[in-house]
Amino acid sequence: MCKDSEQKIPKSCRRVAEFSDKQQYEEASFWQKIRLQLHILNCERCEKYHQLNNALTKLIKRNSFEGFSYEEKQNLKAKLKIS
Amino acid sequence: MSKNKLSPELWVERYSDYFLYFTISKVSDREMAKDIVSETFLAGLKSKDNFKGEASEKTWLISILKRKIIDYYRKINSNKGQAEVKMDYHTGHESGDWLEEQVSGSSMDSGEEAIENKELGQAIYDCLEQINPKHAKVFKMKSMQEMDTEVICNELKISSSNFWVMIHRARTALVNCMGQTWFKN
Repeated sequence: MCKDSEQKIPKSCRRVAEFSDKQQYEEASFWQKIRLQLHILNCERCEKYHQLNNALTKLIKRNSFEGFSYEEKQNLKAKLKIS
Repeated sequence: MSKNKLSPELWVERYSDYFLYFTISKVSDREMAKDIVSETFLAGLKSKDNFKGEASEKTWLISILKRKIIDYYRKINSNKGQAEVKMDYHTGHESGDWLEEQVSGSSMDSGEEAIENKELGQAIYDCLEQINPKHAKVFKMKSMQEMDTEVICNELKISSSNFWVMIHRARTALVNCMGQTWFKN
């Protein structure tokens, strides 16, 4: 994982990192995907980030844990207020 | 030394998901686990006057949660009439409460400890506890509750670009946190 502070990371890499994040949620546009792929061809740092990002997504999906839903949390909060 | 205080109004946001995962890993029944977590919060609220502030709020609530899980096992045991299942054990050298020890294994108190858990979910939740709470909240809403970006932005009153910055920071922190154990390959 890149340990540079965020300020030191080139702007282009920061932008591409956002595309990689969006891709994890299937929210990257076609051109964002293309730009990501082109960028990581020449950028080891971003390639590594994208790989780890994909791995994290797989881990989260493998875990497939659902916490309390929004409604359940609201109900729980209401119960705690009533008590 | 300043004493810890209770903030019941924040319990649901702070601990409900972590406690639910923890409970599911012990009782394997999702609906029952939800009830146990709810009961834990209610019991905490009822006995808040007993909180002396020596332990952290979370540690105190976890001790209640453990009791609730033990109660659950005692209840299903008595319902089934499984008299043979011994809760206590006495050997030549040792004695103790088997159930207590099963529930309060070393992983129980390790919310803020290094990741030594075998279970992935526990590791994820341990790390989510360690990262910036705002980033963790956004990450949970998006990745675990699978809410729409727009809905999250509206609810938290943040811009889309702010949202993606928070997601990025959460993901980076999680990868760093889980790196040693889960990203070896």
